[in-house]
Amino acid sequence: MPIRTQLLAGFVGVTLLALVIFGTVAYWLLPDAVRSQQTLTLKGLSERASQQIHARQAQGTVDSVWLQRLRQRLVGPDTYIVLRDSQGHVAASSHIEASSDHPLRRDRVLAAVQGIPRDKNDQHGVLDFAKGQFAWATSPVPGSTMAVTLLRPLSPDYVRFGGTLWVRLLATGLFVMWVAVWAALVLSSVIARRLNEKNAALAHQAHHDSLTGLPNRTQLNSHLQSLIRDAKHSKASIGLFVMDLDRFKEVNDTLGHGFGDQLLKVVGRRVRGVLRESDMIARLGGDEFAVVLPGAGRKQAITCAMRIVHALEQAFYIDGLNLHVKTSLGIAIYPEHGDAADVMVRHADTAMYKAKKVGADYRFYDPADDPYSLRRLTLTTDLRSAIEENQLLLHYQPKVNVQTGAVAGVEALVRWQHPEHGFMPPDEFVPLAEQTGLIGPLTDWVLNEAVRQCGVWQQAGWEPRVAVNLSAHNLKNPKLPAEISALLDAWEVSPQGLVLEITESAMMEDHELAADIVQRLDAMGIRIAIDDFGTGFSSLAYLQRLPVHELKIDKSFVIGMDGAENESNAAIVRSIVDLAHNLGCKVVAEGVENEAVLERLRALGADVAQGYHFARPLAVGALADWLASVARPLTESRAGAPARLISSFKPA
Amino acid sequence: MTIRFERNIGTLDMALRIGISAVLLYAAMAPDALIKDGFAAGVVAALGIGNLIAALTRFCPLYMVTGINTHHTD
Repeated sequence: MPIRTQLLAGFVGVTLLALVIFGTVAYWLLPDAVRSQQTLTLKGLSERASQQIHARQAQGTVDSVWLQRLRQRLVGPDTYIVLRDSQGHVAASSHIEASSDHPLRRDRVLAAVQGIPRDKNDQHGVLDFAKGQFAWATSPVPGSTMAVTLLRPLSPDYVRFGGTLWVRLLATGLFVMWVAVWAALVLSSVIARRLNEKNAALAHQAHHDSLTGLPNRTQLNSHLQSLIRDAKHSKASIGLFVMDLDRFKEVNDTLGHGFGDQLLKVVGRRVRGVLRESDMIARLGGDEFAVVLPGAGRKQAITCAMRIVHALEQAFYIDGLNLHVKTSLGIAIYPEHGDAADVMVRHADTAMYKAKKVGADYRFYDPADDPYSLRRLTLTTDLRSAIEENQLLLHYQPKVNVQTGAVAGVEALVRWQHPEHGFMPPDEFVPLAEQTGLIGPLTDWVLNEAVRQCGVWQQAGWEPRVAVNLSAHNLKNPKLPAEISALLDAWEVSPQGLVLEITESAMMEDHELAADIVQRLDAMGIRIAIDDFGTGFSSLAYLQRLPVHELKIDKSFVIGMDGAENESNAAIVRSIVDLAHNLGCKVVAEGVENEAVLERLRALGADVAQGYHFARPLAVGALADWLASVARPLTESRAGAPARLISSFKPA
Repeated sequence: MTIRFERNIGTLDMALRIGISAVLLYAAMAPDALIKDGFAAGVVAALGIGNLIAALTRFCPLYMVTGINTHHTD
């Protein structure tokens, strides 16, 4: 029921109730009012009668004839005049003869009058008889002990009087009703209007952002939810963007929050300007906005995303300052990326962070980016137990000396055979481990296993260099050298057997600490290799100060080096080889897949090569078979009788 | 609040009002009137006349104030 109707009903109800109470009270009071009016009239008559009797007593006798005249002149034939003395005896002259139509007999009247107390002679009242009610009034006669009492049947006049009153009451009631309804309608409509305005303002406040006036997160969610409900029937798609401004915090910090607020307003207006009428832009908070595109699939989403990016590319002119702003958009499409509003917002958010990370204008949601997707959560749990329960496995990829063809060493690569998902590529679970903090236990496990295997080989008389990849996480752990030292002791492995591969970017994250750790590792006699060289942005000056023994050229430069169109890659490889040799490092080329590339590397002076051309990463047993099949000298330093050794590292 | 003297009483509403007014006026002013008391008859007659005027001009000030409109809805 609308509030106005409720108010109106309330007002009309109260008015009706008031009228009913008023009518009832009036109905009850009416007879009393009529009676008291009549007894009062009678009282006045009795006073006049007593005065006239007093005047008559001075001039003559008060006899029944005189009283009869007085009765006719003053009070009318239906009223008795009774004179009583101080003892209450009725005087003989009292005029109480009944007229023919009078309802009461003389003796009844006498009895009744005797009942009226004499001492209260200044009174009036009503007496009840079987034949009806009688009003009475008594007044003392001045100058004597006598008192005069008048007695008169209550007049049926009050019915007539009451009837008039009732009609007036009804008419007034009607009028009052009318006025009340007027008042009720006006009041209720005014109140209702006020309330509605207030409600609308509150609702607007609850669903809109106070700064930009755009819908807020609540409104976005409910809008998106209703769109999804509709889309479930119509099989339409919905596009959702979540975007924020890169480095908005800097704007706020350097130019002040007032400036930042203005920027947000303008950004909101600009984005709104490039959207369709049916699209919605909402501010999620801070510098985060969301855009809902009903009916948009991937293609339209990209178009619209580019429109937004272009709209925000133009400089913002605020308070005399030109400001450039860059935005990153995360895109989630219904039903592909979620079928609930909150899920879609979260996924678009994830995509946005990924876009920001890789520096893209926009990016679609990809479960692989999402640290909170269910698959990744289960994988994390599984990986933890795999590490604890030793379900991981190391494969070893041989590194071959380009010039001599001897096996220069092996690189340990972790493998995970997931009980349900099968073989998990390291590309999938290693980043996961990095994001979830499992990278610590994972590298610990790999180091331990690699060192243990190295020990086994050393026992067997083969001393390959076993390379292990370290992550940025390891290079932030000042206890790493001590831990590795403990491992080497535990498995009785000489430090020269271990190579630690570090990527450029891992090195640069906390380079002071990393340099310190690397120097301590070097002091222990462990070789350090820079992995994926050429893909990061390491400072050569910095590299030069580090005790690096090997540079591993990233396979993106090596693959396809044989083709004529990749002369620039060959140039890069040549430069790296020169650089490495000048720094006193060996060069390892990754991703060697055919003889031609190997030939090229040999010509360019690379030292070691690694790749499918020689072998994939192999399990320990397979590695032994491979060594036997190629019958290479096992190590550069100790070329010896391979057959004897091979038999010893075949699994029993 | 701007006052616009637009019609806001629909046909059915008007018919009802004329009926009610007729009853009220008859009760108050007929030669052998139902209401004999002068004051009451005056009040009822005033209400009847007011209502009749509203019905004939098809404009009710109360409707305007409260935003009710029976003219466009019938």
